Amino acid sequence: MSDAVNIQPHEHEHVKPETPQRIENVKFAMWLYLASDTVIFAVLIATFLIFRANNEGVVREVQEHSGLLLVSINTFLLLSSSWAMVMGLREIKKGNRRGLINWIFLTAVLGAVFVGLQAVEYSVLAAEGITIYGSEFGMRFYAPTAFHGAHVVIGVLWALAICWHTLKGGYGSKNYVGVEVFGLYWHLVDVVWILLFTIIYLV
Amino acid sequence: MATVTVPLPGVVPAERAKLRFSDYLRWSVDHKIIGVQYMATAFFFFMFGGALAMLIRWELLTPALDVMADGTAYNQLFSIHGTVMIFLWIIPMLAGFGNYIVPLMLGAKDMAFPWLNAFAFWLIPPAGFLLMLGFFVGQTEAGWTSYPPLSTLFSGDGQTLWAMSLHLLGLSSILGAINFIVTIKNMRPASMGWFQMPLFCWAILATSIIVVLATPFLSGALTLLLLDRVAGTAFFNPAQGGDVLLWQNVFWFYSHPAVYIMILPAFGMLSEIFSVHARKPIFGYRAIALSSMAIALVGFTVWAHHMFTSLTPELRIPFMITSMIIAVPTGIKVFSWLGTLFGGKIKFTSAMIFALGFLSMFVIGGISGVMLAAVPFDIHVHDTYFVVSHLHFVLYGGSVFGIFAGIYHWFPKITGRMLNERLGKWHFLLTYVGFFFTFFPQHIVGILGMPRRVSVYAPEFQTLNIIISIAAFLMGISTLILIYNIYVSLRNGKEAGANPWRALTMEWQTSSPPPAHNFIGDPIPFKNPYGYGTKAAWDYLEAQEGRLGPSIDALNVDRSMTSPNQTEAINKDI
Amino acid sequence: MNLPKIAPESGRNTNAWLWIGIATVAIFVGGLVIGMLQPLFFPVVASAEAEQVDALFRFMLAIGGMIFLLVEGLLLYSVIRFRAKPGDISDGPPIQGNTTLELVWTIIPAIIVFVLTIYAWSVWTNTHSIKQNEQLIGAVGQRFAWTFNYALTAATLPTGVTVDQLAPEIQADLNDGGIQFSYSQLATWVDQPVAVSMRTEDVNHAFWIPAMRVKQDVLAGRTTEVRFTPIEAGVYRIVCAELCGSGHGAMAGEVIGEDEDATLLGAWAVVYPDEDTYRREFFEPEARKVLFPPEDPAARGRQILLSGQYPCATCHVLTDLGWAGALGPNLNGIADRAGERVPGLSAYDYLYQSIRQPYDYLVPPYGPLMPQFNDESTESNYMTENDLTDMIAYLLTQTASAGQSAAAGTN
Ligand code: HEA
Ligand code: HEA
Ligand code: CUA
Ligand SMILES: [Cu+2]
Repeated sequence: MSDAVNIQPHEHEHVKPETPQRIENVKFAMWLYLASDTVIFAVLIATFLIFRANNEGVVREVQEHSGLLLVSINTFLLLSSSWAMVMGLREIKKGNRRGLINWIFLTAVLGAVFVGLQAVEYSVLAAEGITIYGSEFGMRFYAPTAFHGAHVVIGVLWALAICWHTLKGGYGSKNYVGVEVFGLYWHLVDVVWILLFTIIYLV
Repeated sequence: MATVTVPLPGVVPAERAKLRFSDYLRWSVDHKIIGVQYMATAFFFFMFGGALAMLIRWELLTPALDVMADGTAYNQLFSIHGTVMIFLWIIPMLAGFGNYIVPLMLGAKDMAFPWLNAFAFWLIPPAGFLLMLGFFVGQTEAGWTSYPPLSTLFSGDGQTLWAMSLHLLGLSSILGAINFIVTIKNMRPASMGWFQMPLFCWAILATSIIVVLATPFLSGALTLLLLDRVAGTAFFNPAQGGDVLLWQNVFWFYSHPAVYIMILPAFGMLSEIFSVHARKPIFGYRAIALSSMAIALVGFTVWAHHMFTSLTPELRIPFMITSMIIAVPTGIKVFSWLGTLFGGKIKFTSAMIFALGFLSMFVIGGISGVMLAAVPFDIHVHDTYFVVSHLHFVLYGGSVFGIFAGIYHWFPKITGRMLNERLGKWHFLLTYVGFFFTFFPQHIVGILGMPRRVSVYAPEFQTLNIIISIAAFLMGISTLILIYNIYVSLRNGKEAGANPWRALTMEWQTSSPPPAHNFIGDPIPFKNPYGYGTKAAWDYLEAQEGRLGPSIDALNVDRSMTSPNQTEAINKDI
Repeated sequence: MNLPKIAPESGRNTNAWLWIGIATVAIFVGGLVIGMLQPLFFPVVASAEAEQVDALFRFMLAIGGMIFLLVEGLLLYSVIRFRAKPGDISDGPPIQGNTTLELVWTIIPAIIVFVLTIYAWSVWTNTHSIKQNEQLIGAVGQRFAWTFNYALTAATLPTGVTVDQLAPEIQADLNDGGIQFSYSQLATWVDQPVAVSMRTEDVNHAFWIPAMRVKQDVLAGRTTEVRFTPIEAGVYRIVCAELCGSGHGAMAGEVIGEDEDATLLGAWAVVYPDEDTYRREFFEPEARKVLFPPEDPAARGRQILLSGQYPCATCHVLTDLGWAGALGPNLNGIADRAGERVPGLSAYDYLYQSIRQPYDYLVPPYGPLMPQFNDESTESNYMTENDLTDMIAYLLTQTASAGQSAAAGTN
């Protein structure tokens, strides 16, 4: 469901400040979208939970193999990217476009690295024969994590779009709702990851 | 009582907006155009699904397989029929009404997100195309419920296209619903509180909440189904550690709420139409508004009543209890409508008759629903024609009759012309008779032992099936009358004027069809959308007519005998 | 404020109350009458469960009937009584609601629903509870036929048969766990509680005997159970109620031929009047067949095919065995054709292949529907090499001429 982008960017008038009404609308809409997005994650995660409830052993085993190093780095990256995003938002509120660009760009970079490392981890697991097909653990592992990965990719693209838009003089201290909703989205991606991390790797 | 009850002076009527056919074929962000686009598309698919239904009935004229090439070909018929009728007819059609009417009812210039609105619509044609493609590449044979492993390991590419198509449609209705919720919450005029909102808006609100929270379950399930089909996973394949009940649970967790997605907006339309055409305030406004919410809520707790024969026995009773509870809020609506009719001044417009038809038939469907909720009886009739009968009584006798009523009621607003009332009456008569004799006997064949989804059946059921099929053909033909009516009325129907039904809700407070941004200036809502029978309402309507020009009344009135007869009637605040 | 006409304070009240009273009685009686109609459109009552389910439905129908009459009655009354005069555009009275009424029509349905729930619940607990000394039958559903398995142990040998009369390998089987023999029909007798435990070879099916009012899905990867106690001797159709593919409709008992020489094909529940008749007419003859298999492979093959152990009958035509399926190639005179079908394959090899690898060669215009029968006991659709060779031996006797003589024999 890669419709996050469709939710808003095309809406905002470029130069003139946003009306309070419109800001209200866009944010509320984003919340609603996130609500339904969460539900999809819930379904995918549920399939994993049901499985691990019955197959404690298998999951443990995989956890031994894959190890925590990569994912811990990833978690750290994603958290810091969220932080970068918040900083960016603060800058633009002050009206500092350059600051916004720098921070949001950093957000994008961290996100990209995250995806990269995830790819590495996938290949490691695949080497151990844990693939999406033919592995009871595999399918239930890849479905949610890959779906999350897709969200990160979209987030990265969105972030870059914001930078570009700002270079074109898009946002200002009066109209940054576009950045704000991206923030909401990115936070969800973050929270979901923490969830996956704990469920799949820790407990 | 501070709210203004007479329109602002100086608000002049716009000259009637011109409709250009070409506007409806291209991308547009005007909610009125999008609304019509939704309705037209949906109606096309109604025809398609209906034609398939005609084939189904033709095949079932005899106990043997004679019309279709083989069993699979027959299975495709009802699989696509069901999917089309639900996801490409009822849901988009109701979304279309919502799109056209909600902003007008709220006195808004447009939906909250016009672009998103258009985008949501334009997802539908490609989705529909995929589905039809699936029909022609074949093998979409697992029914609209698409239970694995039949839908995963045992059927062909059509099933994949089916899933992709539903994915798009799900996305479309989620985006649409988000738009509705935001519009209704944020774009009401200052003077319109939650409980002064027309009931249709309440219904759309409840529906949209369900869509946002339930449809993602379908998306999730479809994702897994697609993975199983194309990526070789085995979520639903027990041989490799999957589970077939996972699908059934997730699917129904969406699809039961979905049935309320399909009925609540129709309920909303009914409330509007009854009140207007019975010239009487809706009876128990709050109860109706809140019962929609109650239904939406309880609707999330009953999904497994579709699985009484597959669910582990211990879990069946709880779902029976919740399912039955839903009868109560629905009953509140039904009786409130009766209360509205009682003592009113009922006008037999086509809109009104269809609304009455809805009420009379939906009750049967509802009661058979409650019977189905009783586990021991459902065990016997599950997956028989009794269920087919139930679902058509609620979906056709409910949603579709509601839609027809809505068409007759709002057509004047949308096109500026009245539909032909005589044709309307004929349409109703034939549809009503055809409907009843198509679907009522299905209760009986079902109980007697005819399973659903079969192309060959025991010979003893043939007589009943012949009756059913003939009635079905009648119903099919009756639909053609509506098409004809729309066609002639568009060309030379009577000019409608702004408010032919003398209704108080705001969509009638502007010319028909409304101008580009709906209203000239900001309209002031009458403080009670259903405040009929009061001096205030009377003056409001008179003043409105003075402003927007006279509306020819559908039942050409003579104005001599139309004094406000209850001048000093008090207008209790709702 | 209250509804006009029916409200006590608004004049003519005694009169109004009278009418309401009459209406109430009418609705009540009407509902009961509708409830009475129930037996008219129900199948025969053949099980203890059916009696209870029907009683429940009668009750629901009566209640439903009353609600129906109430709603439609009020509707008709209003529509007739409160028509607007033509041309009148004045409004009705501005009544916004009435709390007492609204409470009434919230509480009464609530009560009805409550009662219904309790009643249905009690019926449910009675009907699906486990009974004493049940007859255990195994059922296998596969596209598109049912097979039922009966246990034969040293204890249940046919009268006059003793273990030492049997061939050694059969004795061996008998001693470890007993023998399972298959049959295409479910046989039992009156007042004998039956417990069927079911599994599927492929997709989901659903086991349904309308006359018994019992139904249970047969789910891939699980074993499910269904229970009932027949109370009426007779034969009752078994139906598959879950969509399982192109032959879904054919996966039920069917009647071949007209009333006198009509034969039952496919899945039927045969309820004998008592246990003796059951053993005499069904169990012992069938048991004998497996205990003393014929020497001639062709004869044995014919026996296996007749037993319905394999679901061939649903899809194929074979007059000699009374098969009339329409989903697969016609097998009359197959012995003549089998040799020519695939160049390089002898008649034997061809038949062998089309059972072990059905999709290697498909007879036009038929699709890939036939289940593949494997020689691995671990896989689904297990078929022993012996059974296969014997069945082929039988099929090779089916020349066109043989077919005619068989047909002639039946007339
Ligand atoms: C518009 C769609 C719609 C609506 C509104 C309903 C409404 C209800 N449905 Fe229905 N249903 C379907 C669409 C709908 N259904 C479909 C499509 C299927 C088949 C799916 C498939 O398998 O293909 C289905 C199947 C279905 C089943 C599964 C049957 C089976 O497969 O074995 C059940 C079982 O509980 C059920 C129950 C109910 C109940 C209790 C209601 C209640 O909401 C009804 C409430 C209304 C009333 C009761 C009438 C008015 C009330 C009064 C007048 C008050 C007094 C009444 C009483 C006290 C009883 N429905
Ligand atoms: C809103 C939903 C909706 C609507 C409106 C309908 C409308 C009709 N349905 Fe359908 N139906 C379903 C939803 C709906 N159905 C669902 C969900 C299923 C379950 C599918 C499944 O099992 O998976 C189903 C299944 C279903 C079955 C069971 C198939 C089976 O289980 O084997 C049957 C059989 O009679 C049937 C018949 C009809 C008929 C005769 C109409 C008629 O009302 C149609 C009338 C309309 C028209 C006919 C179109 C207008 C006219 C023309 C197109 C011109 C051509 C006319 C002629 C040739 C006369 N439907
Ligand atoms: Cu087996 Cu349907
Ligand atoms: Cu339901």
